[in-house]
Amino acid sequence: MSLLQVDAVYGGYGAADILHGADLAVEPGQIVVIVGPNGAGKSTLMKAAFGLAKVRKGRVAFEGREITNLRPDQIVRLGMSYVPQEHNVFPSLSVQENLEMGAYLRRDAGVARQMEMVFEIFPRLAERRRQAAGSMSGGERQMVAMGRALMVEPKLMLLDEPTAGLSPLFAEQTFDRIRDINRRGIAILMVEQNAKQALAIADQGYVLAMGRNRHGGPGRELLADPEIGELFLGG
Amino acid sequence: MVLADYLQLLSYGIILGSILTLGAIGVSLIFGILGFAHFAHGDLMAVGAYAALTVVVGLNWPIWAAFPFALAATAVVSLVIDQTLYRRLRRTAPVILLISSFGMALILRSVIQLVWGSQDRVYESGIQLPILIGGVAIRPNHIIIVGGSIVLVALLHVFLRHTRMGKAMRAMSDNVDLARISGIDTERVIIWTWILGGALAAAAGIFLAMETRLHPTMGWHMLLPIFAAAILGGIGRPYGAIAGGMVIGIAQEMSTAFWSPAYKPAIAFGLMVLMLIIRPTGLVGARR
Amino acid sequence: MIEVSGFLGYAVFFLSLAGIYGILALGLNVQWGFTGLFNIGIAGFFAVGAYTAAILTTPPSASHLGGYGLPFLAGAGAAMLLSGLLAVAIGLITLNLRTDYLAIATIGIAEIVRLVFKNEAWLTNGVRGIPGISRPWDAGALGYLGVIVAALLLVYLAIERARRSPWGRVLRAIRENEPAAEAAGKNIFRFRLEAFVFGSMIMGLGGALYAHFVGFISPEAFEPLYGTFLIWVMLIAGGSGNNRGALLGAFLIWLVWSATEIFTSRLPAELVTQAGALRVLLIGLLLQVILLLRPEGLLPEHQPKVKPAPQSKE
Ligand SMILES: Nc1ncnc2c1ncn2[C@@H]1O[C@H](COP(=O)(O)OP(=O)(O)OP(=O)(O)O)[C@@H](O)[C@H]1O
Ligand SMILES: [Mg+2]
Repeated sequence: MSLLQVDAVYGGYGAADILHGADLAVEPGQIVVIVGPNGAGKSTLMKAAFGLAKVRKGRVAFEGREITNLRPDQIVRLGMSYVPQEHNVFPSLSVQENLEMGAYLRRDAGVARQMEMVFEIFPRLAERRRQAAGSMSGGERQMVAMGRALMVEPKLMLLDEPTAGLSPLFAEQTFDRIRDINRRGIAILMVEQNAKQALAIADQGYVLAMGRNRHGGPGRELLADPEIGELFLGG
Repeated sequence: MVLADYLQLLSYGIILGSILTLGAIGVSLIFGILGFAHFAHGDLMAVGAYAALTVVVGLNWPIWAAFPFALAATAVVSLVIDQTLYRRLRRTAPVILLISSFGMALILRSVIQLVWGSQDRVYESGIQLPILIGGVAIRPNHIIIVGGSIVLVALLHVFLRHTRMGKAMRAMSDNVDLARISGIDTERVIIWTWILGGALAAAAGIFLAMETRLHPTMGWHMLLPIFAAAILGGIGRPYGAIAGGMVIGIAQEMSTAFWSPAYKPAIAFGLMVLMLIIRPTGLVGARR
Repeated sequence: MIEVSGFLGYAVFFLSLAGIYGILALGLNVQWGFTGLFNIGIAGFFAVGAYTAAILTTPPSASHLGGYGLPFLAGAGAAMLLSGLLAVAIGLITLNLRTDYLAIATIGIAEIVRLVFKNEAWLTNGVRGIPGISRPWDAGALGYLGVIVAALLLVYLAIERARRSPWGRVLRAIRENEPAAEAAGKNIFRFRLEAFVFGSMIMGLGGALYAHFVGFISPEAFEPLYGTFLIWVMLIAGGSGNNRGALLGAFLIWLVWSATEIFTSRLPAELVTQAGALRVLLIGLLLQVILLLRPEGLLPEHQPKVKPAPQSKE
């Protein structure tokens, strides 16, 4: 049974569909990457899986349980968290408070332990736990955002372009952190513009165009496919 | 005028500033959480003041005993308004809430007038003897108003900084979508926002009535200075509202040394306009 | 000069005020209905119009500025001009901010206008007001109703024309989808300012017509809130964005308002002072009911069914 299963999903934000039959599967512990041209509907697909965009037709399931069009807070409870592409931290809250908000649904003793784990992955956040997130650099903010999403101890984390706007060095580090998180048993579904780097660490990749999958396969295979390289990865 | 006269005006400014701060915090919280300027907030202050009067007259209690009752009653009124009216209108554009709250301001005011009439009222008649401190006359009520406001603001601070709900409120005020994604129950946050906003408005109304008198239009006349204070502090930021309230309060009272007191509201307006021109995001912070 | 009395007299009185409210509602429609600009300081622009007309057209007086004894049309023109200038000043400051700021600024302006007219006796004779504002062209009550109706028609035609023009289409585009309009290269700020000033000038004209209708104005006459509020309810009830809706709303709400007065004036004497509050309460509740049940108003703005999808905040 797949962790996340998206079957032939149509939908979007209003009258017109953005997604036209998108499919996707994430197995436990995998890193899955979605690439594709701008406006292809990559973010929309993620939002549809997370209850933020409307699924008009088709089905989304998490651990075999149907979650189509559930509210985000219901989905979070099941063990899936989401880091939007932009505006993904609470700027006036401190780093620690941002993390606490990620654990808002939890009232158990594990929260402190989980925060220690986040600080282990991102030592920089531990140093700056009292600083307001809004005053941090783009790279640090991305850490806060991922840290917040980790606080629910998700089985699957959705990341929308985690390296957008970061310098190549920071992007490289972010990919390392993502692998780090993944090694702790958390599956990752991410959208990436840095397609080559992302596919290189992906167990599975999807190429999305015009709201539907054009290709799918293990990351390295997609990278090696000359047609895909030409069409979507900029040669 | 001598120095003592200015200090006297300053003391009035601090008193007015305390009252404005309590109102402006509510306006700012509501704006941050719900995204609209709550035009009935001044009249909510009047509701609080009259709720206290009802207890004072009805049960013959002293005003300090009526105080908690009035805060609770006003919080309930705010909640009822939100749940019966604003909640249904939230699904449409925020600007509809603006219109609705404008209407609500008049509804509250008319109800007050129907129940209590439009004469001036006071909680207790008789004049309090002032104490002279360095040539500045201070009445016991003044100390209650400023002290009470400090206590309330401190309590609010503890709530916002150290409770789960308080942090969720600040989070939602920062970014509603991200709050939802994090699993924050935004409807509960809204309920708490009205409870706090309503209670603080009631306190502001009671303090205002202690300092001046009760009248059905008392709240409406505070609306402009309250919003000026909230904007000065950067609307949506409750901490800014404290600074904004003090600046507006002191400026309004000090201005009477130079201009006719009739133009006090114009001072608030002038400062607000100045702020909108030079720094629309407010004294502290960057939020539109 | 024909004077009318009795029921006909009341009908003329009723229709004259309905006409003036109609003009104000049309002015608000340009601002709110077309453009989405939130003005709750209508009373301020209205008062500026009324006082301008009064000061310019009354015979010389020792108790206030002027009067200059100018003709009606000069007074009305100046009323529009001054209201427009006030709108330019407010608009320049607030129109590139969220509409909430404009709303608050207009409250402030209305309040300050009232304070100035109340306290600057050299200008306006303060609370004692300006008397002796005569109707133009020696018109009787009926004749002046004709003047009001003519003005209303002119305003209606002008606004209706503006609505259908490319200018009006841009306003709607801005209101519906600001980013798209901006992307299309429209200077949003300028269009907004034009609409705000246009609407405010119409409100100033309404004020001038009112001054000549009542013949005496004082700050009391501009119970700032009730007037503004009533006009808002008129526009929302009639259908914002629709000029005929604005007129229908003005007529119906004015009818309701007047009818409640007939009703409340029969109340026992001890309740009469409360009557005003009761009427405001009823109108306030009416507004909420309309917002809940029929926010588009009686005559909704006609527009294609497909609305742009709501923009998420992201
Ligand atoms: N909130 C929204 N409401 C309406 N339409 C939207 C919304 N968000 C995105 N769209 C539209 O949906 C389409 C797909 O957008 P989406 O953000 O999913 O693309 P993407 O593949 O993530 O692109 P990018 O690489 O630029 O992030 C675009 O045409 C966009 O204009
Ligand atoms: Mg995207």
